[in-house]
Amino acid sequence: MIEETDIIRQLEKRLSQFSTDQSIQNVGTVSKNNDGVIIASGLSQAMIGEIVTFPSSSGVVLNLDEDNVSIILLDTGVDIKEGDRVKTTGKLLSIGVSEDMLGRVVNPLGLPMDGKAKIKAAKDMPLERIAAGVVEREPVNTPLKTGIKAIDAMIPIGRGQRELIIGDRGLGKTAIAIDTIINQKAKNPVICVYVAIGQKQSTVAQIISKLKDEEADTYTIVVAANASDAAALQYLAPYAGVAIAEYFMEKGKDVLIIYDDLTKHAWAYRQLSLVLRRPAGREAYPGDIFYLHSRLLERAVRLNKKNGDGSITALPIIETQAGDISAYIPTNVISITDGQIFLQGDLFNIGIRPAINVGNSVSRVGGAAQSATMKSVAGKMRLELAQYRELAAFAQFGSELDAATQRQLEKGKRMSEILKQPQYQPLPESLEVLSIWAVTNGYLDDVPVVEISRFEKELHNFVKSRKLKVLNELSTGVKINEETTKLLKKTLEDFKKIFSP
Amino acid sequence: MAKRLHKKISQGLISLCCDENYLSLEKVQQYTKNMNRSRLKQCICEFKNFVENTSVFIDTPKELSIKDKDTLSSFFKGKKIVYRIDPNLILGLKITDKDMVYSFDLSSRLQNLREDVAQNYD
Repeated sequence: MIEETDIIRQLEKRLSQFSTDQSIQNVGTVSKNNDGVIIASGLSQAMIGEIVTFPSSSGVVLNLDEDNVSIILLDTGVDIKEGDRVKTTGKLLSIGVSEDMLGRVVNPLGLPMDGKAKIKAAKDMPLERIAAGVVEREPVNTPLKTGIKAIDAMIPIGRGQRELIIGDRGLGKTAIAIDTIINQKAKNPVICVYVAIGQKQSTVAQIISKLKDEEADTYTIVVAANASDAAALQYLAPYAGVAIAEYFMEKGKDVLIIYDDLTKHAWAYRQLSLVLRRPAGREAYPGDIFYLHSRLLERAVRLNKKNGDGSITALPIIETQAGDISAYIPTNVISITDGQIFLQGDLFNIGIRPAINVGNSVSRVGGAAQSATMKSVAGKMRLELAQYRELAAFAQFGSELDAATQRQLEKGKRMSEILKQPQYQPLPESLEVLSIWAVTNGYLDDVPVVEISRFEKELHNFVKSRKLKVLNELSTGVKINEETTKLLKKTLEDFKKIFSP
Repeated sequence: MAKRLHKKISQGLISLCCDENYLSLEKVQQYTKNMNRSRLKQCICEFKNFVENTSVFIDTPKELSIKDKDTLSSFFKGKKIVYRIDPNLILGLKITDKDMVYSFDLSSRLQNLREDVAQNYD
C-alpha cells in the first residue's frame, strides 16, 4: 500500500511538470452501432489493433476503410449512440501481467473476475506478437507429464509442443486438460494458464472449484471470456492467455496453456467478421480463419538456453460434431498442431475413459518427449495394442480362434482395461510405468478383466507402503535395466501372493 | 461503383450550395427541397464533413483578443476559424482541426492526471 504522502508528493511533481506540451488526440464520431461493432467516421490516424475509447467504453480498431473505421467493443456498449465521440489512445491492445496473477481469474483485459483486489501489473504484454523465430528455438525434448497413462505412454507430450485434444461434446476433453493441470503440482510447478472461451459461467466456476480442491490454483491462471461476454472478448481471450504465458516464459519458466475451446473462438471471430462485412468463405468463416489459429499456436515454443530456456506447451481443444474430424476448423487446427488426441464416443459409451482412440491419435514429437523409463515399456504396449485392434475386428465374426490369437486378444483386453483411469487422479510416472510393465509382461494374464482396476489400485498402495525402492528406481528416468527388472518381478510376485481376485 | 457516383453527385451538390467557401442557406434549401430521406441523410453527412474539413474550432475559457485571433488565423490559412467559449477549460485553449484535437488547456491536463491516478493507485 503506497503511503498517502507519497501519492501527494507524486501528484505535486506531476503538476509542477505542467508545460506547454500539448496532448494531441485523434477523434472520430460514431455513425453506427451494430451488434458490438461500431462504425465511426474520422479517426484518420487510427491503427489496426489500436485501443480507442468512448465516453463510457473502449474498443479495438479492426477495419480501416476509406471513409470510416470499424471498432469492436470490449463490452456491451449499449449506451453508445450515433454522434458520440471516440478517441484514439495510441496504444495497441495489451494486458498487464505480474506474478500476482497466479491463482487469479481474469478477463481478457486483465481485470479480475474473482472478486479479489485489482492486479498490479509488472509488465504490459502485447496481445498480438510475432512468434519466436527458428533460431531462438530448441527441439522439444523434455516431457510434460499429463499423469494419464494412455497419453504419457503412447501419445507423449513435450514442453513446447502443441497437442490438440479433439472430440465430440461430453467425451472428456476438458477432463484431460484439468488432469494435466493437477499433475503439474510440484516444488517448481509448470505454470498453467487455462483459457475458457465462450463457456457457461457455471462450468468455469466448477473448474475453478476443482482446481482449488486439488490445490492446483496456486500455479494456475484462469482467463475467462464466457458465453455472455462480448464476441470481441471471446476473440481476444486466447491471445490474452498466451500473452500471460509469454511473460512467464521470458523469465525462464515452463508454461502450459489450454485453449478451451478454439471452436467457440472461431465462432466468435466469424460473428465479428460478418458484422464487419468481411467477405465470407467456407461455412461463412472469413478468409483468414486459418491465420487466426496459426498465429496463436505458433507462439507455443521451446526457447533455447540463450533466450531463457523457457517454454509454452499448448493444448488446444476442438469440439467436433458427430465425430467429424474432417470438418473445416478441425482440419485447420490438426494441420497446425504437432499431434492430436482423438476422443471417441463409442469408446466412452462402453466405459473406456479416457476415451482415447489410440489408433487415430498421434504425437509428432513422439519418443523425444518421453523419459527412457517410459520409452522402454511404452513401445511394447503400443505394438501389442495395435495387434489387438486388428485381431478384435476378426473376433467379431465369431469364428474359432487359435490359442495364440485368443491369448493376444485377452492381453489386449487387459491392456485396454489398465489404460482406463478415473478423473482427477493423475498418476506419477513411476506408477504409470509400473502398471504398464505389469500388463506387458503378462502379470495380469490370470487376473479377470473386471478385477484389473482393483488390482492396479491395490498394487499401487502396496508399492507405496512397502516397496518404495521400486518407485525410486522408476522415478530416475533411466532405461529399465536388469536389476530394476528383477526388482519389478519380485514386487509383482510378492503382490500377487496377497492379492485375491 | 454506384456508391462512388453517389459521392460525386453529393460533392457536386456541395460546390453548388457554397458561396465563397461558406454554405449558403438559400442554395441549400433550393437544392435539397425535393430530396428523399436517404439522399437527404447522405447530403447532411457530406455537409458535416465539408464543415469539418474547412473549419477549425478553437475553444477558449474566455474571449480572445484580436491580436491572439490574428496569430491563430495565420496558422490555419485558407480555413474558417470558429471561436467558441468553454469556461470548463479553466485555462489555455483547445483546437479541433478535422479529426485532430490539440489540447493546450488545464482541464485536460487535470483529467489525464485523474485517470493516471485511478489507473496506477489503489
